[in-house]
Amino acid sequence: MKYFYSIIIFLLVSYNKNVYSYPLIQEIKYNPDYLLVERQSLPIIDMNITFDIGSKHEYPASFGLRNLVFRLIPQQKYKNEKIIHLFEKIGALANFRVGKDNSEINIRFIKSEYNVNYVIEILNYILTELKIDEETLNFEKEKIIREIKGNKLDPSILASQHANETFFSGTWYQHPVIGYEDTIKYLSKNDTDAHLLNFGNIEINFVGALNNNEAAFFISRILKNYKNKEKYNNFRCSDYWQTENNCKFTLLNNSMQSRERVKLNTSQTHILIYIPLYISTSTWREKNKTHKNKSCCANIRLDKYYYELLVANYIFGGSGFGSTLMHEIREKRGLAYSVYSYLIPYNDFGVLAINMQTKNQNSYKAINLLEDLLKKFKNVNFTDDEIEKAKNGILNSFELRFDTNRKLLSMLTAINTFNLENNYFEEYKRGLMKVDKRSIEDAFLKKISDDYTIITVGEF
Amino acid sequence: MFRILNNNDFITLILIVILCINSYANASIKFSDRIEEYYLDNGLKVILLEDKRGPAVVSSTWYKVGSSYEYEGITGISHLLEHMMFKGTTKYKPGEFSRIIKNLGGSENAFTGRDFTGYYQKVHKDHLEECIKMESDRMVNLLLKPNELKTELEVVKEERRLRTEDNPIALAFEEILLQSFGYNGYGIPIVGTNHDLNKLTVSDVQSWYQRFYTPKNAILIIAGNFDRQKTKHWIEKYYSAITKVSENHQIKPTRHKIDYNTIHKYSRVSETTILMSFLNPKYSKENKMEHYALDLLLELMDGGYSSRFTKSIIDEKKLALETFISYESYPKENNIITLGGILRDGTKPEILQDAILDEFNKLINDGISDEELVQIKSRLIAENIYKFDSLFYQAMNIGTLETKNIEWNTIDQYLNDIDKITKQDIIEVAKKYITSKKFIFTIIEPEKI
Repeated sequence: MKYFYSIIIFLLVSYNKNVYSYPLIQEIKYNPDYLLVERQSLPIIDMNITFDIGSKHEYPASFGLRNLVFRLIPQQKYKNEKIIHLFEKIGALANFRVGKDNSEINIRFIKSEYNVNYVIEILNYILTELKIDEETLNFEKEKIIREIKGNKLDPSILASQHANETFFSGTWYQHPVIGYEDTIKYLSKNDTDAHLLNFGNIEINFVGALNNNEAAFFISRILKNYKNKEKYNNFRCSDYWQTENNCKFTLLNNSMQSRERVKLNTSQTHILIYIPLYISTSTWREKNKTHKNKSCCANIRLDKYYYELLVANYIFGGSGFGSTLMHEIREKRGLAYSVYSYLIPYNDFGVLAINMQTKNQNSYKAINLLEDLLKKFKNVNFTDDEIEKAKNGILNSFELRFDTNRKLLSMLTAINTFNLENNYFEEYKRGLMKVDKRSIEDAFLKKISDDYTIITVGEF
Repeated sequence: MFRILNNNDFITLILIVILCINSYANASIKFSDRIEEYYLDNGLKVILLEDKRGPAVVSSTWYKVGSSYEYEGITGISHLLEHMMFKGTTKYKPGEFSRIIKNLGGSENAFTGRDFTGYYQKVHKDHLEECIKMESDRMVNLLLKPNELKTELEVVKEERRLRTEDNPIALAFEEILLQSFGYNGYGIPIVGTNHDLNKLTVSDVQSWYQRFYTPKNAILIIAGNFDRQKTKHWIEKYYSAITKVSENHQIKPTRHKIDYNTIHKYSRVSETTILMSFLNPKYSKENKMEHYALDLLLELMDGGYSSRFTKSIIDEKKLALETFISYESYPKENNIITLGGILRDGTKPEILQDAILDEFNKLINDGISDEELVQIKSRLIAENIYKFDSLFYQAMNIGTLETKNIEWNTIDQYLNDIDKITKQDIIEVAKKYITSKKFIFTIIEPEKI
């Protein structure tokens, strides 16, 4: 009989190994800042360069500067042609994006020796010699100001902007990445040139048709003469925040309990709720001294209770049809087309957010219902069966979530940015398996408070 | 260090790219290397597309019905039926289909277009049978209940508010299409009008379901990692017993003459936007090369930041903040090509309109450089290859064509066909479809408060 059980266990282990096949993550030349997943099946190379500077490193007079600079990069000329034109000439797609914590350049191109050298040369120029032309600066400012005005008329963007301004009031997450009309107007060539000296620390990720040696060659060439590689070690927040609040991230009580209504001429009211998640600064990674100096201090993704929050959010509103929010709001009552919850993993603070839109006449009914559902959620009103199903659903969906090179690159970038282990996929599975109702209750007790901010935008 | 490419370099580059494609052909790039297609006795068309890069498989079912099959009085019915397909069958409770897929770790969704309604599930290859089983079930056993329909109608109206009524550009497009075609073909809004949505009944939806959701009117496309023999066995097992037959569907088009009057709107926009909508005739095998020449023409004009609109209208003349083109390569019915832009302060709508038309006249008079032609071809080739990264988009590419009765191998021929297009072909379509044609001019100005 004992022998029989051994066989069963062996079969189960073998079966699991076959079921979950994860991509192999390689460090490029043993450098943990440079990661690669080699996939030779298509002649495509996807690459990401992440810089550890985002809009949070700006001070009030320069709000929007990082975004402005990143939007200007493709408009600058190299050998008399705009950089974006040079990329387009070989059919490459180039994307320059700024977030609150960091910024990125993403490039996708068809692999050929010519293209590799071509892309290397442009990227090296961007990182080492780029200067901003005044005319493109003025035009980009005009376009950004137009976009800022447009954002004030978009209910979804407006709700998100107000939520950040209210909830994160007095902190470096308060202002929009795009900046404000009043700050953009005054940004000059001196500002952009000075900012180009501070690109920040770099992490590079590749997915696609190249091997470790090719990736190493690529990196060594694009970083040739890149001077400020080490400049931002231990960088936490800009000088302004350092002097204002000693670089401490503190949310005000009245910010977290705010109810704000923004009037806009729309047929629907957009409702956005922010619930603070108190993420401990002492993650196991820090305890084990595996944390990079420059990395974040309080990201949900690194928190001990991350998997509990992930499972709870999946049940509540993070998994589409069948989630509590979708069932109660859409399927049962027909109050919305789209309703969902999600975790916002900023480096210095975590948020559980809820988002929905409903016709203006239903806005109060919807808010009352959301508040009621939130109350029940905080009381962990889900069953063991729901928790098990959620864990299986997340686990089984995991490898399907990187079925394209692009999605895999995005996952690889997160692994690199959050300094997760290279055996992350196995860690993820282990982390999920230990979640149960008790551990979720424990997580909620420590992580979720009764406060929350509600922003509504619409005609009511 | 690379040089800026000259014309000869471009030709070399294109050759390199094409060589690249060929060297990878056995792996993924050509559909014909990986596709098997056949019909069941009941008329269901099956397309199996292998792509074993990962463990995922996409099972998608496409019905040849969408808003272009509708008429005034029942607009939005195809889309409403798509929503109702998640509301249970004689075997599965409302929402159970979605819950099962979710518990398997899969994802699923559905979409309605003008010529098709599609359903897909992406799952691990081990769970493909479950998808085939459930999808075949809802082809015949759908239960339509009045209370479910009532709730879902509210959801659809919320979707309409979100996507159309609160979106000034989408609302303008709805008006332009209606002015172009009336309640015929592509003039019918996919989501339907509020007036019609309020009147749709269970019986209407039931009859639409009976008429169009039949094996003969459907295409099953499975893309990804699957065992071919087992998959064929499951398809036979679950679909072959379905004997439901399509009813005849003939719509008598209403009389409509395109109305070229200018549309002038005041909406929730920050800057004035103009749209110029030209007639784009339906695609056929006979005019295929003309449509591809249009593809290249519009790519050349506004396909990227190095296109003519950006270089001339935005950068040099400084008339617009943005320009855009909306165009579909394979329209089953007559459609529109829309060119447009967001005005820069101080630019009058008519000035931007003239500048856009000038670009086409310049192209006709001065021609196209070799460099430009090779550059846009290389861009289209690259974009075509990038599509192969996603299983879903591979299935989507095939499904959108097949539902319009255009064979999937059109995609394989695309690169060769595009390569045959000459500069003169592009000039000819510019004359034929743009400069010699009337258009509907739309101005959307910021609301006056």
